[in-house]
Amino acid sequence: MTKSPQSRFGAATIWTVVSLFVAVAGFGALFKLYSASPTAITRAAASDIFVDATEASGVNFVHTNGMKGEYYFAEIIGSGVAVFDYDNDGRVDILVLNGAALGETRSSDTSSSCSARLFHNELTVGESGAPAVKFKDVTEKSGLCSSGYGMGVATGDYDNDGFLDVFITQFAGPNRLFRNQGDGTFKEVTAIAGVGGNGRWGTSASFFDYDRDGFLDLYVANYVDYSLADTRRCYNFTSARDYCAPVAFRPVPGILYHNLGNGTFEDVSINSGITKAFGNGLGTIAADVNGDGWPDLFVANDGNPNQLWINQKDGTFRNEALERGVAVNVDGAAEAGMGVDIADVYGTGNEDIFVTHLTREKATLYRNLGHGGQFEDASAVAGLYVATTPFTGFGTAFVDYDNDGWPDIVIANGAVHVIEDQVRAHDPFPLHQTKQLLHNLGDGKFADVSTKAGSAFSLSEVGRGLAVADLDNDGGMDFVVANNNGRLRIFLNKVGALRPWVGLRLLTGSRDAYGAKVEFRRHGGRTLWRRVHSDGSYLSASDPRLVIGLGEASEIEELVVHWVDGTEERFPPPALRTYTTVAQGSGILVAKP
Amino acid sequence: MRKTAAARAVLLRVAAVAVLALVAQGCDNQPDLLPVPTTDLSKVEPAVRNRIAAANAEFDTRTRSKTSSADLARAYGDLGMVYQAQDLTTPAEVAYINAGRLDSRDKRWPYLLAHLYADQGRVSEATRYFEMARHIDPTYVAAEIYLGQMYLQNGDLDKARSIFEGAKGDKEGKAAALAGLGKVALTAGHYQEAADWLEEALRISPSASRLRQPLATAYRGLGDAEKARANLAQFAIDGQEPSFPDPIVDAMSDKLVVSHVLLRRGQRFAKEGRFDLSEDAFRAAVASDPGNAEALANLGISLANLGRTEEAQKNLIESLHLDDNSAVAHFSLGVIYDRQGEDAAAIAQYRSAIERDPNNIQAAVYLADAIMRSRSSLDAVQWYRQALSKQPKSTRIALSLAFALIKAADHVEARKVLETALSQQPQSAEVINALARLLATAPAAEVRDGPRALTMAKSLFEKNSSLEIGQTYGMALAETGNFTKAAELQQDIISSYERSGLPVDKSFLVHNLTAYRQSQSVREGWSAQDLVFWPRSPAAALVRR
Repeated sequence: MTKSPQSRFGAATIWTVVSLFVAVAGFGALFKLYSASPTAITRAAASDIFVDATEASGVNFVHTNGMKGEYYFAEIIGSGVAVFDYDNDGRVDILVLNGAALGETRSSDTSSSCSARLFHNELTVGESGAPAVKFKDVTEKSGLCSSGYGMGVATGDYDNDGFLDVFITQFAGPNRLFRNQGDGTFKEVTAIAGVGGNGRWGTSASFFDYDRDGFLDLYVANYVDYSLADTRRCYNFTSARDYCAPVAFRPVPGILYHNLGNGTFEDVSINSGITKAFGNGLGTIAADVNGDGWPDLFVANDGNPNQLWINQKDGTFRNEALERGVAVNVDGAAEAGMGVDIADVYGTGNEDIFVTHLTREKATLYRNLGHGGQFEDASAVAGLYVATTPFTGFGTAFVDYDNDGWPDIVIANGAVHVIEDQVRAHDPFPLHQTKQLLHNLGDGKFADVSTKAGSAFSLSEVGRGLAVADLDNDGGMDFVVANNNGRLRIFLNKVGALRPWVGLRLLTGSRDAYGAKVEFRRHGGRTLWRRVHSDGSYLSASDPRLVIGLGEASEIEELVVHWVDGTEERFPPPALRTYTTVAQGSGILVAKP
Repeated sequence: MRKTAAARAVLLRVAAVAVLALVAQGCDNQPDLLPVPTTDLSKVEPAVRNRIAAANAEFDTRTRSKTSSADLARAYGDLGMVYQAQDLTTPAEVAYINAGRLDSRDKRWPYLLAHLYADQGRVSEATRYFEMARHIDPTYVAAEIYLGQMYLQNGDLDKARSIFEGAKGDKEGKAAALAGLGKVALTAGHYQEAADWLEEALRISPSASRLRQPLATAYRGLGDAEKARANLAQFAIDGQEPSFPDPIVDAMSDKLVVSHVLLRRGQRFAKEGRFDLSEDAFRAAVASDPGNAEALANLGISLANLGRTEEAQKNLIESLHLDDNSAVAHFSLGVIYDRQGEDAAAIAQYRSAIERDPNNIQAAVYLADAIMRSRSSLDAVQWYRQALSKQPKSTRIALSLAFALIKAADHVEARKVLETALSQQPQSAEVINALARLLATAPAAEVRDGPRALTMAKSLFEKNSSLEIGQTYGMALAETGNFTKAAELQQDIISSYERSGLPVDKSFLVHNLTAYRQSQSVREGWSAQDLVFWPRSPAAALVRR
């Protein structure tokens, strides 16, 4: 990607911006209001917020969970999806993981083929200015061939070459790292890098630079001590056979890898202290929750107390989840943590934590009270009980779908225990539920707008992975859902572009500046805070670019970036309705006392 | 055959509903009734199938003749309870709706329907039906508590507060109502009020350790980090909330026959120490599934905890006949034998438990105890060592290992074990006393360290002048040449034992006194009869049969 100074800031301006679209021919008319453009993607009612663009996108991927009536626990857990721009062409691509045959049929499974599929975004813009999202399966050509039973995926540029690499966790197989070679191809480097794991069942993973040495480290959550050889049988409350609950198995600790900066990693799990507490790890996300400038790590555990690993700034972590109020809910109960995301829900500059859970447990919003990262369960006041208790939530993300400046929530739901009504209807996989869209009202409350969000949200499927990105570069955040034993779904946002927005890609060196925080000061509006990350959700990785909705206050005063190394830089207001690249070292350094 | 019978039952019920509908048409105020949907029971255990079939047959009998609306409501309600107890929610829901339509004065049907909806996460519907139940009977405190919780979850804090305020007047529901008020206040950010309510709830229900977490949050909000920490230290993730009576749900739960759910219920009660209730649940589980070895084993364990040794033994043996692989059953049977003084049988069972679960530390320790009592202490050493390797910070295991080594005359190793234990538990009086006594009395000169023994024993004795520690102090005094003081102290100890009537090997005490009077140190720290060489955990304490 080229970088060039934007002339309207004058030659003296030392920050660097570039429209991503200079690399994409024919995008001149892209930034028309989306609603003014006829969509060729799908039939959509006028009121639809999201449309299901799966069919039109050319992606026809159906996940297989390998089930054959044996109720293998792994069947209901996967899999994840990543949305990331692997070739830096300014268009976000999709990598979706797949399961494989389980049990006795495994020997004849697809172990030699590529179960995960990589789809290149071939986005075009028609004469009318309407974007048309099309994807092309480039798996074999790319060399990103991951066989086996895929679970989770993380994306991060571990070798700082400017191209996002891919880490995949697996059930019953080693985790895998694929290095992006920068020419549209990948090479597996698991053995060299030393990140294959310890034979445990890996789930979500996070790339983050915990020691601020400029190289992305890697945390891998592990789920439970389970293998296909485990023949225990579990039953539901009616006494019929059902999938086991995770509490039937022993939890196992996660793994922290320190990036040595030479293409290899060192397992520092024990020395860093992160093996001192563990549960059935499913969701992970890194963020500086106590505001000390060092990235911390949140792990959502399925049925055990969560962990909040506070960075001790010396290569070690301390689990402070209980004392900081995020281990358990307001009743002191551990919940079945699945997906997780972190964002500034209340507009205070403090980042809040959202975790999805089982039916009856509601999703939990831990409000950050400030005071160095103290939290309280704010789910009741936020209106999350009524909205979320009927569902088992997995993939989730804060996404400001209407660009009003307030992070909303999208959730992919899907049960883990058979649903009686669906059994009665002879459904072969009676776990499906609808997705949800929760609108942030800006007063600490969320409204369930799923029924108004379009037919996309009435699709009842077994949702698991979920990742967000602006797939058609129109400024509206889209999302992708990986369904268990179902089709990958692509949902495009119809309303985001109706409000002004700013797109940012933050770079430290030539890689995405994971962990950097953006402070967006506006005339006539509150300051907006956003953080660069690709982790969170469930088994999935999102695009690290930021789309910042400006709502009714689009006059930008200035942009301040808080980089992970502790420095702060000021940048002039970026252009509206386009993507701008902001590189560390090109702004005005903010002096600190 | 089964299908035919099931189809006939369905037809009968449909016909019954049709008849009822016709009757209803002919009567004033008879509501529309919904047909109770059938359920595929092919995959459930026979006990459930039989229970559902019996409930439907009973329903058919009760509704065959013309009955009053109230009787019909009860028939539907009872049918709904059987379905709900087995978690067959769809037919239960319809049955309750019909019951409620037929008799709107009976609080049970909306109340149970509310629970059914709450269990499905349907908060709005649950709230509505809890409200309805409370309206019918404002004195039913469980409905008030649940309703308050629903409003709290809805974020409707004023309504929740009002409901809990009303409920706290009920003596049996007071702790739960206060806990609810505390959580309402906490949610509103009124930390002092939250702390006050939660403290009061804990005063009434001190075992409700789950409340420690919200209470800690309240103290943290008040800036009292110390109280927050103290409460978190008492917080138990599997702890309890304050309980309150709920006879309606209890009556419904009594209709449960799903064996593994009963088993889990029993285990929950057992964990709470309610072995009377766990016995009932395990018995019901066994009744539903007589081949359920786990239920039998758990029943045996509950009975053992209730002191009914013979019954416990019978159930555990029966359980192991069904499934010999249960380490817990072998261990529990070992404890039963242990309690009866049958060391050889106990040893065999403990060994079986460890074979099946090498991580069963308790079995290893109990096995070592039994071996120590009956055979070579060297054999015991290896089991204590194994247990200590898995639980290196256990003072109990370290001490047992040290005494086994002392009994085996390996004082060098014993000292090493005690030194390690002391480094891990520097304040442990038991460890200090044992090490000091060993340092004062060990036959091997390289093990002995009289001055250090004296320092340790004197310091300990000044804090805790027990007869045991006094003996050690005397031994250390003698070892360092202060025989006069050692003899005076030993004489006092003997007199105190005589006054107290405590069991003791008096000859050992007298032997030591004589030695001190003859200006001699002693080279035996413990009498051969001392209980340290005859270890027995409280759980394996001998019982009279």
